Amino acid sequence: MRYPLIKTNRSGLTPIFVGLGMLVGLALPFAPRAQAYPPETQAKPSPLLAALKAELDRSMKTYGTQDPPAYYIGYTVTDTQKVDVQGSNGALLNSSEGRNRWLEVSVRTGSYALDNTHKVGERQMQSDTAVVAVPLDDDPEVLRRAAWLETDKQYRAAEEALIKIKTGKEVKVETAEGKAPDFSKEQPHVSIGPEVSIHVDRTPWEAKVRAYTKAFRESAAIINSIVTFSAQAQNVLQVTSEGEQLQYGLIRYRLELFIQGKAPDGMDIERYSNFDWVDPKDAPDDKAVYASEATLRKEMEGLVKAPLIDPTVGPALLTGRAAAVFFHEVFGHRAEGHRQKDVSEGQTFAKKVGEQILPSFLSIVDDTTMKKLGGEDLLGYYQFDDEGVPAQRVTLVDHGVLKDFEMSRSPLVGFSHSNGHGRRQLGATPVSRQGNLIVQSSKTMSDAQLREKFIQMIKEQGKPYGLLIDDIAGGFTFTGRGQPQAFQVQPLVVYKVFPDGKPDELVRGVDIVGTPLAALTKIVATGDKPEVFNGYCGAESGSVPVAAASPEILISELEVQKKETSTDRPPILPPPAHDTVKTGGQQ
Amino acid sequence: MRRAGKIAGVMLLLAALSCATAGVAGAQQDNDHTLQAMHDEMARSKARLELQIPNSDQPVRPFYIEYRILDLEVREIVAEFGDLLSSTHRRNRFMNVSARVGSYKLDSSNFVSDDGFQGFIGPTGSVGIDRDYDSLRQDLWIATDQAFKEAVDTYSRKRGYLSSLARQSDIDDFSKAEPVRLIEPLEAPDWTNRNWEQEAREASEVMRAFSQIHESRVTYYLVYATEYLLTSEGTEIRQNRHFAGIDGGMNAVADDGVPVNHFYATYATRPANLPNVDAVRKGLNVACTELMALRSAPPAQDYTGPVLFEARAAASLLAQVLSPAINGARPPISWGVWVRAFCRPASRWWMTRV
Repeated sequence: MRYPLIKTNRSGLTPIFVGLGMLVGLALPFAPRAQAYPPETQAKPSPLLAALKAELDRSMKTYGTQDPPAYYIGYTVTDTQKVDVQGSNGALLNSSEGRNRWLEVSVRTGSYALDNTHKVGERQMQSDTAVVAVPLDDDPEVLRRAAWLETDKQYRAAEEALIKIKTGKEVKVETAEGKAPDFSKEQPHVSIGPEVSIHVDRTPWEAKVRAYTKAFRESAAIINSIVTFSAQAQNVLQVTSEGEQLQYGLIRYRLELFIQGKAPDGMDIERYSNFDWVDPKDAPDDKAVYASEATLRKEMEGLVKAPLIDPTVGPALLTGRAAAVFFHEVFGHRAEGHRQKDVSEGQTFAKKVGEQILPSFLSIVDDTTMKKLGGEDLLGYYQFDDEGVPAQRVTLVDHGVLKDFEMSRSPLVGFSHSNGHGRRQLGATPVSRQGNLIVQSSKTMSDAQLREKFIQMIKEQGKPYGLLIDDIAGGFTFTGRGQPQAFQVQPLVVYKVFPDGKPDELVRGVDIVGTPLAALTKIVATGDKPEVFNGYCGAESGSVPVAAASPEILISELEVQKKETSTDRPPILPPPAHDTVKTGGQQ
Repeated sequence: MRRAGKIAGVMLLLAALSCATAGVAGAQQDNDHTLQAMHDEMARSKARLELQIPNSDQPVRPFYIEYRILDLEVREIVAEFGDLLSSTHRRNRFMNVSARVGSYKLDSSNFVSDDGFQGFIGPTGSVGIDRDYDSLRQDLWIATDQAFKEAVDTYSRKRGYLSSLARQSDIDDFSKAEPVRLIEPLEAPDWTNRNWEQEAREASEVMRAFSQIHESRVTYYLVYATEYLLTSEGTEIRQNRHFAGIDGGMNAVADDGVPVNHFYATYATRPANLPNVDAVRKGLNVACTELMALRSAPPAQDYTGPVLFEARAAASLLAQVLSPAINGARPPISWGVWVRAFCRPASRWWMTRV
């Protein structure tokens, strides 16, 4: 089963955590005082926070005086309550709920300037953060026991890594980027928010996923359908040796519709849509879901019959959701801070701060404090990032000029602090990641005006048609130096738009390709209504929820290439429900 | 819906489970449409599933089709040091469709190739748990299609490979079997009125008394399954299976830094037959005590001489040593990967007509 995700390359890049200036050997005694951070609602602290803090203090007393000293220890407990209801082809596939609780231990030896996570040349010493299952029962004694064991393991690994790093540095040239410290010193926060939980009656959702997938069976073009409802309540406790004490929770609901079909030439066709919400009362009603199903079904039936399109270059109009994914892949990943200092990265924008990289009518922010945009929940919202830094609004591009990067606690020369974008999937080490990437335009047009300009551009370039990209599944981008600095975006629904007024023609079989610096400067106009794409982005630190929002964009020149395809024949027999021959029982 | 892979492992796991079969045959009025859907899709496939091969007068058809469905309901409760780590309850149904082309003498089975047919969904995966008719037929339809195409492709490669060998096997690829019909009444899981989560907590709590134990887990597995089998030869089976087990693992570190571990395990054919918490605590206590003794024991020296295996150890030893020797499975005939991975370059010449 494949879901369309926004993806980036997993080129083995793990973060080089760099610290803030000349604080070599300094640890807890010099840590700044914790700052009270107002949670949304005052709440009672979990008894486990005190247990974690007690074990942390004990560990720092021991490992902070070893040689090399542990200068930073962090404990994070993530308690996840999850409900999943999944159906396929008219039946329930599974329905379950469960809860788990994981402890992550992070130990850094050395100093903020140089620690065990330092990347020497191509080598990264630190593996993923240790993660162990801990009891669901609030038992401080057993939790402390787990923290004790893991801290010891992590300290030993960090100690060994630091020795190798110090030796390795002697045989490598230090790059300009490598002069930045390994870890930034941030203001610790104390914030105790309410614990969250979900109470989901699965029975009505079981009936819904049965009905939603049964409706897909009515189309002979749909070979397989999957509908998934999921609900998740996640509570996080975090304490660090710097004085951080956090308790916060987040709830998410999601409904996903996914169908598969096959064209006569063997090409696999997939269509997907999803609904995301936070408040149970915002759940989509049947009318909205069936409307989405009808669109998917119509597109699938059109796509299996649609002609293939050849590679071409020409004007293209991307709808808001498609443009949002385009910016996520083409710009967003290259604005992630850690990529600017890693010598194995392409560093497309590393030296371009203050320079024009986009048309002057475009600005881009990454605002993880935003819960909603235009009434739609944004998946990239959070209170604190996974390094305990509060969420922030970051202006990345202001009127076309590059201003900032998405920063974790791995600082760059000239960008010494995190701006709350250190993110990771449970068990992975945080790196700088996107949250809510929002494209804003000061040169907007109505849909009709934009289309008119699009047609005019097709005519001016003497092209037989332009491409309207209506929906995009996701894509990937190469950011490492070992590969071309290219992106590939996978459109799901593409129309040929003709300059002579002929109706738009649905086509298939192409991916959008290009290079970032060239592609971004070819944007000539935008629409006036932003659209939101919610998805999960995969990169070095795992899969994290993100949102991207953009108005429609008109691009003067976009290249498409043939997409990878299968040559397996479509099924020999028709679907049982659509077989008119009375052979083999009920038809 | 399919999740390719894993199905074979699940099938094998279940085959290893102890079972109790009532042997009551007969049609059931239990709202289970599984076998009906299997029958109807099987009939359609036998009658109409065919591929026309270029330069061949006759279309290729499957001479044998097999449908297996495993309906698996599992509760798994994990505890450590008196606390609950996780408690899950899942029900899934797994489908495995196989098709054979050729003949009983020479068919498409038992041949490994590294560039064979790769279907886009595959002949295995999860299917709906509702025991309904329509969704299962949809899943069986695409799985049969994929299994048949895979068989056609494999058969062609296998014949090509065999034609290059000096000598081929005299043994048939597949034996004919008398059809069997066994339809047991559908059995509802009986989880009993025992509080499994509390039992897991209380059992694992024993290990708190052993301060040298670093990590421990006590896991309760409670399994109910219904297995369905339908073959084009006429075999038709619906059979219930049930199994339960308690598995306790623990580890420590000896003073010289060597990690030591031990375990306690007990099994029953039904959850209700599992030992009570007092008996489990007693068993775990023995295992923990032995682990502590092991932790303090001097390191064993190199030794050659007589050895006495106690009964449990002897059974395990014989199972591991003898099983491969008396297993009747034929190694696969292979092309590509197998040859490159396991044969020296000269081996190809040894097998080839020269």
